[in-house]
Amino acid sequence: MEVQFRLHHIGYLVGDLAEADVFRDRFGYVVEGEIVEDPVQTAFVRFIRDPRSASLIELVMPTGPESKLTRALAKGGGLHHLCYEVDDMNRACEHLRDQGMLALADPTPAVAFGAKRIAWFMDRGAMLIELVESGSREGAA
Amino acid sequence: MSALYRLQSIFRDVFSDPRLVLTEGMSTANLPDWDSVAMVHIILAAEAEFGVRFSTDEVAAVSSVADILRVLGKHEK
Repeated sequence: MEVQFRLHHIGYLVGDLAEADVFRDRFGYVVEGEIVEDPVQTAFVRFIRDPRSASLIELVMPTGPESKLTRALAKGGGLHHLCYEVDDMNRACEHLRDQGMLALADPTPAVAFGAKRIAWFMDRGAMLIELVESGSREGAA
Repeated sequence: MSALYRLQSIFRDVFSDPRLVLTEGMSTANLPDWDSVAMVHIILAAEAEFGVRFSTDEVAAVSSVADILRVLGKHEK
């Protein structure tokens, strides 16, 4: 496989971003960056990091009843997506399409990542994958 | 075999309903089980069945059987 995928973060769907306190108290995570409204996900997001590793979790909270994530939250929320960092967005998208995943939208700049492009894919097993372009980022870093 | 008939077979598989009779008017608005996961199943199965690849814009524009038939017709040209 020529395209390299590096796990960037795990998306975790919550009803309240104060859920960060639970991860802090249970596992020692620290909040990283500010709360950002992500119009692509129709959600407010906040990153938390395990200070002993590079592990990031993106807490994702629907912006309101009209959010496209409200229905998923009503089903229980929790683990929502895996995000991989890629150097070549176009080739990564082609690779995932060839591997039986469906692109849910063309790559688009994301507020949470300093306008770097992200893309979303889903497979038949409902695995939801986000891609983010590599490079410096103004958001959670 | 018509495109609608071939799509019907796909929809029957996706919705586990062997008696489903597909019409062009069926849509995400009147088929409650036609959610985002079902959409992925339907589009990927249609791509395999008809030997085409939907663009992301085409996927985003699909909300009914008629929409799928329209995309398939466009790829046939």
